[in-house]
Amino acid sequence: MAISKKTINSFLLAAFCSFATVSCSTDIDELFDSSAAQRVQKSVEYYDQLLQDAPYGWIMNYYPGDGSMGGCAFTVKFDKGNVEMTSEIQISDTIEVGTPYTSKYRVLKEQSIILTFDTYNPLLHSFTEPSQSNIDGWHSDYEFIFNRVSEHSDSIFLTGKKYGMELVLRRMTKEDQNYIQNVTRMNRLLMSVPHFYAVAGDKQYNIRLDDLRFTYPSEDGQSTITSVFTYTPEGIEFKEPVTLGGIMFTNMVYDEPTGELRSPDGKVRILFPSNMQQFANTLGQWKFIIDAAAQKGECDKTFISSFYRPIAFLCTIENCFIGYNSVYPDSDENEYVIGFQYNVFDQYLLYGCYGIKINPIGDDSVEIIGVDKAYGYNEYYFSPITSRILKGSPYRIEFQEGNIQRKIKLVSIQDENIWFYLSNQ
Amino acid sequence: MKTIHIFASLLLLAGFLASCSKDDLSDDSVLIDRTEQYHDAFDDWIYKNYTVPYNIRLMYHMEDIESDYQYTLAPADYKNSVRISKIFKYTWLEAYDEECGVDFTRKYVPKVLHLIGSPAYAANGTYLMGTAEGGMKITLFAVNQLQINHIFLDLYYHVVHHEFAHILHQNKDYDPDYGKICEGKYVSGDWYLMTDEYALQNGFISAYAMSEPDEDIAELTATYLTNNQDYWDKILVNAGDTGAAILNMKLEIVRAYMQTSWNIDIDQLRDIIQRRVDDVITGKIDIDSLD
Repeated sequence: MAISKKTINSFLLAAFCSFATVSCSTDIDELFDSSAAQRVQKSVEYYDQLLQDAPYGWIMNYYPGDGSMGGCAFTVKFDKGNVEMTSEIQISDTIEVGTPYTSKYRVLKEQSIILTFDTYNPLLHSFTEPSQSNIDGWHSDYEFIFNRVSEHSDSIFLTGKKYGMELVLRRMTKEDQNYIQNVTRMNRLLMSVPHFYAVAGDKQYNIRLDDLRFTYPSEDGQSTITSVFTYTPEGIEFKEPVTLGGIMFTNMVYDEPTGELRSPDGKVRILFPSNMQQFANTLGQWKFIIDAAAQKGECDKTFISSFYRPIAFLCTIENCFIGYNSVYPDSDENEYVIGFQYNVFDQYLLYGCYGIKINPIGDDSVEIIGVDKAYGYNEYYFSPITSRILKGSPYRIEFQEGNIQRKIKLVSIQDENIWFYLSNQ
Repeated sequence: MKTIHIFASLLLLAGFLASCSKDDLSDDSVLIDRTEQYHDAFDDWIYKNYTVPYNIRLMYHMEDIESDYQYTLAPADYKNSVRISKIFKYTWLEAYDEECGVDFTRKYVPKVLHLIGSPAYAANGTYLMGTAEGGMKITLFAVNQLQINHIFLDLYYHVVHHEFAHILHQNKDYDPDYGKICEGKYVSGDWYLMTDEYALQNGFISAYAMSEPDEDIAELTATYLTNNQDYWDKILVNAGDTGAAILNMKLEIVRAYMQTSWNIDIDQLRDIIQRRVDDVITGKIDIDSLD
């Protein structure tokens, strides 16, 4: 059948008319009230305002790298492009922990809405900045994608843009003032000594809780699990929920009188280490109590004169301790040492140590056995002290009353003239 | 048929008109940057001292999209960003203003300056202090390690003067005789296998200058501008008789090019730069305030 040109034209005309009619129709249902760009812009404004609508700021537990090193507590307060941070990081010996640092932040629209801490803040960027020996820093984020906000807008959940770190901001209240100071206090209370036992229900478990890590048996007892945590003013908070003895918990509260950490329902308890463990397994330093310049100290007179002696040569021993080697394992292989911090010409604070083994004998006696000179050891200045400590071994330890040891006395079992007090404060 | 075509055209027109009538443009811009409203004194200073006079976008906030993804970088410290911005305006932009007039500077200067806190560390143990892209953007790294002394600042100055020399050469060709002086000695990508000492003795100001004539002349210009006469004389001594003779020959071409093509007295420009750098190092210039 032949189709005439007229028929085609009529058909085209009809099609035109129908298009024109359709395109003129005014009752199109818009899915959104505004354009995509406007909605993105609104989201930027919403998140920025939300960050600022927290007069006391936000708690930010930051788990650097792959998270296996544990978390670091921060507070962040946002105000018109400026963010004031505090954290439990000690930036330098002269700056108190908890001192606030202000830098810039922005909420930006990229492929998602992101929060970026985009000028240098020594607290946060100490985890992210590269160095010659570590060109990717700690593989940690400072740009975060907003994921979601909790129902009452008191928690914001974000994900790191580059390394995928998970970050939660929790709104602070008036009660959270001095948050970092209280976290730091808890950190100092707990980090100096590992914990070895936990009780869940009526069963005791071998665990290890030390600096930011908690290792415990799996439910079937066939393996061990390590969970990381951050210190809080009340105790510790795990990154992920922990199950021990069938009881699940995400945080533990420190009980001051007993030194125990307890799950909120009290059913799981991590026992405070024994007196001997607090000394022999310390991760901190048990220091001599001495004022060398004034020739005073809580130790026998020979020790005092040993400390005083180097001063004539413009070297002051600021601190002598028995305990955990602060350069282990990076720069020295001795875990436990007799350590020294000494000041040369009143300008340089240096560190030196002598490797030892601390072997408990029963509940209240201990051997201190010398291994060898170690990192930064200065024979001339340190050997009178080191050799006297080693000469006095083994020692009887006089512990304080109560569970938590702050100051102990070591008296040589074979020569009572060799004695000294040590403090872990 | 003609009637139908006219009718159809009218209908189409009506359709267009009708369908356009509902599409009023919204008053809301989608280009609003909320952070614009958080401009502080430094942002205002940048606007007055970089944007308006030179049309330069100075970025001190970390802009990862503007940086190189192969490096892990830290943002710039705010206070050091202020210092660097003041130092660069005084010792670089205003040095050219003084010698050539502000119109010259604003016409040829790269239009983006990005400040980064850390150096850009590479896996082979090297690191970058600065880069430039196509005459458009200069990135300065290691802002957080800023030190106000010649050793540190000269690393920066070398980068910017090197890149600026490229920009000048792209606008007006330099004498092709320059490339003939050491013809056959350029080693292209193998320059890093050469030592600076070897380069000097063969009439190149640095190992990198051995890569090709364009880099050679930019290196020579930057080295000459960022060092005083004493230093230059020492370079010539280290280069030995042969090397020094070649370097002097090259410098004469640079001197003539700058004079004839740009009306720049390279010695005068060097004196201006040196004087201004000294002003910064001796503290004559307040690099902290935003006045």
